[in-house]
Amino acid sequence: MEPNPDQKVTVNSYGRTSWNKEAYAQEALSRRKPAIEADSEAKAEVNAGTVTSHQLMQLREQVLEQVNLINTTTIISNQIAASNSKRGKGVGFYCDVCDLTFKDDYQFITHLNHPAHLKNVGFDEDVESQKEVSLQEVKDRLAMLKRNLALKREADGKEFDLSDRIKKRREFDLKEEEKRRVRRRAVKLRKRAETASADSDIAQMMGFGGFLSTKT
Amino acid sequence: MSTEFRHDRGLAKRVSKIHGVNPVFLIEKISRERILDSFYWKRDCFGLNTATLLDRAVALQHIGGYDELQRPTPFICLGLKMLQLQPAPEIITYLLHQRDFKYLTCLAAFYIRLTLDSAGVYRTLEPLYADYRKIRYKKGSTMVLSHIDEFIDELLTSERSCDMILPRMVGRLYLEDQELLEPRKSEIDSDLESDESESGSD
Repeated sequence: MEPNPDQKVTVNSYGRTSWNKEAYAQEALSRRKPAIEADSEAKAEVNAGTVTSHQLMQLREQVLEQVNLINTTTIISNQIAASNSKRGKGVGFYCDVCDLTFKDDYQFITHLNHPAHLKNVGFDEDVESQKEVSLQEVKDRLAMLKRNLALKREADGKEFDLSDRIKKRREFDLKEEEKRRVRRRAVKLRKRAETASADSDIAQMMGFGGFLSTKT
Repeated sequence: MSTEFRHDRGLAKRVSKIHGVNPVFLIEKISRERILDSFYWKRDCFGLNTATLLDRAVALQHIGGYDELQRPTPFICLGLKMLQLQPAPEIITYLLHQRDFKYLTCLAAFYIRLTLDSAGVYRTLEPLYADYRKIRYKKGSTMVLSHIDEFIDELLTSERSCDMILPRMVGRLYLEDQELLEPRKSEIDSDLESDESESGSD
């Protein structure tokens, strides 16, 4: 008996079951297709070199905030297990693009510069490095930096004043001198006490503890 | 070419050769390796272009080669970065002569010393003998007070600067004989002349 093309499972007259492989294959393909398409679309989106160097640097600054936290204490959830594997989120520096955790900042930054990471971010170094910088851009940049520096100084209220600097230095020197004097005095006192006690010990051993009479 | 790729990291791409080699070879291999492995390089020199390089150059606090732990200073890290980027000559000239950031001037002078030919180096750097701004010069574990004119003199007369072997220069007298250079006019000549004229009038 010919299997019905519409039916996936058929039972013949002897009770033996047979499966329509083509129908199953078609069904599987139709199920997989949307997933494959979505995946390739996502890949195309990421790999097109859409991320500019400026965007990348901004992203990088955000990520490097983690490194700036070095020598500080952070309380972490105890659900994060300490593990030897780099994969997944763990204790350390976490790269959410590649889903990797690193134990030290050097490894972490090496990873951030790595071609594999850059590819995952969607940054194309070749495209970016072809952009030329003109003299005018350089001039503008320097002017901006100079302005920023002036603004920062103003905000700090630290307009450079030589006489003020000299005054501060003198005060600092006086303070240091005072500290040194105190230290020297302390050392002198301690030494005097030591020599005095040593003298009396020896004297006692030799049997002349003092000038008082030994007779009772 | 393939051997270059196998053994040398951090080669400059899409740049013209200088002194017949890839520009980064002007810094000797051991220094280059140390720079490429340094934390400053990996963190702060990544993805820079000529404009953003200035952000770092402006923040420089001193010049010098290595510190006491043989870590390269930011100064030579940025030097290598400039070799990789190869900014246009007019940009370099502008950086050399701007008056706002003295360490940027030093960086440009260092770059010029590495890349230009002998006559060009003399011609561009000698005017800076008149620059007396103070700079900090890190030599090993100590920080030395120096001046830009001293640094320029070191670049023009010695073989090493900032713990680096500089490209060999043709002697100035030879270049004068070849009529590639005018005899140097010292910056203090004008002072001497004015002194003489004053004393003469007395």
